Amino acid sequence: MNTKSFNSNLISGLILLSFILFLSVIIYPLSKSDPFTQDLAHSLKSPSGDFLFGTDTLGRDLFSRTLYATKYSFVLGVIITFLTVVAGTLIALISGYFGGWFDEVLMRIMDCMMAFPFLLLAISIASLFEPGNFAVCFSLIIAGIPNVARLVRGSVIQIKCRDFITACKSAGGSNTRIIFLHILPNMLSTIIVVFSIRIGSVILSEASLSFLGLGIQPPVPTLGSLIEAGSAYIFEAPWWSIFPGIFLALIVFGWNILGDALRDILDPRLQ
Amino acid sequence: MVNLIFKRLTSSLISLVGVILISFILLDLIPGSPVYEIIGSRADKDTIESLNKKLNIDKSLPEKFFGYFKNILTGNFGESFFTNEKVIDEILKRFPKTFYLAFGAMILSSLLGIFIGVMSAYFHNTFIDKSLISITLLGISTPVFWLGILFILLFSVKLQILPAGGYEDGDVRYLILPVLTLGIRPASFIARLTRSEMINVLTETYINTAKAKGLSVFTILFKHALKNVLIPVIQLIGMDIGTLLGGAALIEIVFNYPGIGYYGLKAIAQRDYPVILGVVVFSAVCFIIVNFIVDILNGFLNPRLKTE
Repeated sequence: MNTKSFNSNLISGLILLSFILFLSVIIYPLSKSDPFTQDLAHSLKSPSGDFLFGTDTLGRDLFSRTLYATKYSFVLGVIITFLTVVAGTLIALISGYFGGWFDEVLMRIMDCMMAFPFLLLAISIASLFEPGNFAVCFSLIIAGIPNVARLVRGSVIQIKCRDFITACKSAGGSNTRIIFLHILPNMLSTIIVVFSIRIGSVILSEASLSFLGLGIQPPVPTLGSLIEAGSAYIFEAPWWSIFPGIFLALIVFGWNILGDALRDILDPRLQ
Repeated sequence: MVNLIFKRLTSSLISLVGVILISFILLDLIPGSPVYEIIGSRADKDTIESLNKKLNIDKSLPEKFFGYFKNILTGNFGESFFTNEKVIDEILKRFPKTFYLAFGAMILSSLLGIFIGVMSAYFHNTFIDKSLISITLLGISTPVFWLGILFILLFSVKLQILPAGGYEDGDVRYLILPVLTLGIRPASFIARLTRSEMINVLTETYINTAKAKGLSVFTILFKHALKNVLIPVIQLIGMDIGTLLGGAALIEIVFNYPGIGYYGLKAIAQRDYPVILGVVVFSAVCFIIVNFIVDILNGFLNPRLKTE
């Protein structure tokens, strides 16, 4: 592919994500309906001019609930991915830079964690806590660290062997200085790529955990819990599940296009 | 070859020990005593003591660990807190159902993914390639549990040609929708990898030779080129088993499909820890075994690895 189509992918990803953010941050407060107000007279109304996405059994407006949940999933996805990448990068820096038995042991632990199917590991960690934001964030971060650490460690080792690091060492630079002032800045592109190719699947996993009831509890809506609640009314009110699902797929799609484009531009070796 | 098998076997065994260790740490982290989960907080002293003994709670940490280790190696995951059935019996009873689901999805995703990938590479940079690649990106981005609901809506509610869920022995119709739903995401990953590998292979000189010999496009693509693409693709298919097992659990919930995942996820609501951990450890062990087989298979396919 040529540079032109990279850029067109980058731009379409950005446009899609900004559109979703625009809807959930700008349009949502403007709409007169509240995601929590119940109105039993209007329960299970199909989509119309008054209720764009219809209503649920308690008569709550699904348009505002979906937008509220979209913003929620978006922010949670960014926070979880950010913390995972920070923690994974720290482990990779220390383990890759110092090497030796420490590196060996740490990477073995990472391998063992990767022997669990990702989602199942996250589910079992989350099930140890009370359902809520903490359970979701903590479990996804812990389950995600090994993958990030493995990816980033490769590039730490590559940079570690370069001449300017040797030069810095012989000039008497401390380990901390070398790691944070010389290696880290040279890995930024890798880190950005790892962040952007991960976030899509993190948002999907977060939705999966909420779908299973491990996330924040009602009445706060998340995309996963909206789809779950709607699935019980699939015959009477199919719209209940359909719209949150479309928004979920669109956010993830947007991030995936963006991630692919960034990877092709910044770090084509990372597949 | 023997060397390779030995090397892979050691790393698989290390992973296995690690899996048991991690699951033990998880079990030990459970806030509060599981005794109260079973009998409630108002039980009398004797019952608590006898349960403590039964669950090994009053022993020291190393004793507990080695007990747990031995139990898992002998397939003893304990008993469900609520039904008192042996977890391993329940898992083995349900295993074939999940196996059909995962195996079906693996076959479907491999065939579909490789075909789409090859087509996409052949029509590289044309409209067909771009549409196919966008479709696969959409396949990766769509949540499986939502897709399952859409399929139920379309095939069971609107068209009424397939059952909306459940399972009956020997009736393939119950498998079609779950397998289709589960297969789409891995198919997309396989298609994308096949495409990028295939694009590289198609620039090789032996492809030009094959073209010059006047071979048909089909022979060139599926006989000459595909052989050299298969190694990384098979590796990915092996890695996808993890995704399939995780995805299968969600799909089983959506379709009320009585497999292992359904059993494990239903246990979450009740905090039935032996069941949750049994299911997770069992899945991890399957995952390790499949990856071992895939590595060895790759050794056979790739002569360079064989001599390593």
